[in-house]
Amino acid sequence: MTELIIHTERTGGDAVVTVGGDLDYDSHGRLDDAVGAALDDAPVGLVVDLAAVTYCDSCGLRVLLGAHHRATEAGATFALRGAQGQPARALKLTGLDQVLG
Amino acid sequence: MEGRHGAPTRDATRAVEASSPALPVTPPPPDGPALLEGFEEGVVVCDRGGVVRAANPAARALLPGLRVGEVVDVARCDVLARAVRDGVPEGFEVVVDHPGGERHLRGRRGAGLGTTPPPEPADGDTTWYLRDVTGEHARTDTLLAAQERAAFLAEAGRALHGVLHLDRTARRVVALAVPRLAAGATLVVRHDDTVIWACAELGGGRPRLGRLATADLPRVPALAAALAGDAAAGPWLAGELATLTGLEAPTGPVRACPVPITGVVEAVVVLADPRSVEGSADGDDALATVEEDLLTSYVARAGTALAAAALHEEQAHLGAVLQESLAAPRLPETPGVVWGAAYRPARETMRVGGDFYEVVGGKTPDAPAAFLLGDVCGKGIEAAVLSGRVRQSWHALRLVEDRPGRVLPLLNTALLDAVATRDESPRFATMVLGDARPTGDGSVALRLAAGGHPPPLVLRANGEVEAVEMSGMLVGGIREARFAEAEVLLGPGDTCLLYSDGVVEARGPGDFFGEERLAAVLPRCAGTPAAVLCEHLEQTVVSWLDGHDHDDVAMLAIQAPPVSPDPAPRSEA
Repeated sequence: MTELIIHTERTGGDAVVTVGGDLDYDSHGRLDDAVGAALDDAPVGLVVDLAAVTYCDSCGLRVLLGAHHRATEAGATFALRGAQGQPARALKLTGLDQVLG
Repeated sequence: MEGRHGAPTRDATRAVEASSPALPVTPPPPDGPALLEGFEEGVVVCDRGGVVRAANPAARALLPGLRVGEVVDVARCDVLARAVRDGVPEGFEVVVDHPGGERHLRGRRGAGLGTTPPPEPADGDTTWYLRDVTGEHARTDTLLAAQERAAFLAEAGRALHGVLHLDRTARRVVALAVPRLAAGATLVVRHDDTVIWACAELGGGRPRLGRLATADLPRVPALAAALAGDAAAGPWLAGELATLTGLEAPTGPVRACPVPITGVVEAVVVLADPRSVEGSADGDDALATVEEDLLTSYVARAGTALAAAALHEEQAHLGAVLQESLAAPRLPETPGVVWGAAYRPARETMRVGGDFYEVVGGKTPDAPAAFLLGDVCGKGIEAAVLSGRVRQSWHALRLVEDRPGRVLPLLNTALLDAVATRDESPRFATMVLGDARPTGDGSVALRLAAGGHPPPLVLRANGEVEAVEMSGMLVGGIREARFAEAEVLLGPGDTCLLYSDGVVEARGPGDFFGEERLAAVLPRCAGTPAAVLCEHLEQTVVSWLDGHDHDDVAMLAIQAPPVSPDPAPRSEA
């Protein structure tokens, strides 16, 4: 198991949340919190970078889908980028890659 | 220490002169009496006949009966008298009566006083030093008692910590109380609609335990009142204990100590012949107070341990009930189709997993059997609620819509609506569902639909493995989701395997088990009955995990029975 690491920074109008490690049942709440904090800043867009995520289970997918909903509600665009390996497979398998792309 | 000349010394000197006429009378040196006077230790000098030749004020204060010129026996300190007479013991500790209450006296034989003190030492004189050690004793006693109490509470903490089993905790609570707190102890605990009692007696061996229904509590009104927190239980308490436990009633005094309310259990400890009696019967208020504090701490610890055990049992029970409802439905006997399944919940017992499967046989021999295998996000109660919703919706929907590819969008909408009406955050499931219809020539026709789930694998009788490529979106997450449909024909001996991501995402040392390994294992299972295949795969995954934690693992195998003269195909019970 790899500890979840989250880093948020503002790039222009976008809030970029960079995530690394295992996004699973135990850690997904932290990403949910980070997304909430990023949206509090009223960004134009919310970008979640999954390049360093090693594992993403259904709880992780749920947070990503929730982040999409929350960003839309807050009037911000949403983009997911960088997923590789198992997280990319999970996104593809669930069709979320088409929705969240 | 010098310059104090007082009457007692002069008396002493005179007394020595009077009592020992045989000795040469020598006037004391000027500083001699003062030296003795100033001693905080009592000093007694006796001649060989046991007559007190000198005693300083400290000695006379300790032994008011002591008289210079009289035998030491009049001081009413037998051990000193014996020591003077026999020369032994050379040191002693003794409790003596004193107008100010008992005193602890420590005495020792000292060296002769040399030439300076009065009186001039004579051959055969013995000198005794006496010290009042009453305070020292009291301090030591207090310290030892405090240590003993602390040790008792520490032991109680150790014995009760982490037992997490109500019966065992109850036994330990009463075992701890005897004999330290009382000659007997009975604990009565009420948890939900059960009353548990545990009873320990001095020399009674392992505490006894029993249980009854709360409906029986009216038979023991005083105990019921004590359970509800009323410490002022009446004189019927002992008799009621006997009624409750069927054991003999305690003969001595009993005392009810209600356990502080924890919100989980109600409990009372009834002590028989308690060491601590309310209202300080022996008059020692300080001791009564600390004993009372000890009892309070013990009862509080018992309460915490009982509450923790009760809570744990509640949760474990809840988890077990949920797990039971979630997993391992009975596989039906269906003509022409063989079923196999495996389910291995995540290791953490309190985290009911999100995997599930269902199989329902057709109403008539010709009707297809319907099946479903899925995974909801999350664990625990949340997952149980969601998977319950999914399974119930599926059971209802498949009655009105028989084509799997149409059931899935309906299920998607039903789940989204359920979430929307409750303002919940998105909850979704991934699944493969379908039906199986024997074609009459030994084959089985499958119709499949999938949403966001790993694609089923087909293991042909000849060992070939095919993935049923179906891409569909997860179910209950997105309103405009699209799902995939497929049809598969299983020839005799062919098997279709549905599995949860717990299989391929099982992480052993270093890596996921993965689709490739799964596909590589399958050919070896060609021709084995569906139930055996699932069991073998489960064992393979467990070996891969090598002791690592894992998510739920669920598998469902659908098989067209082989045509060979195989014994009757088995399906998993």
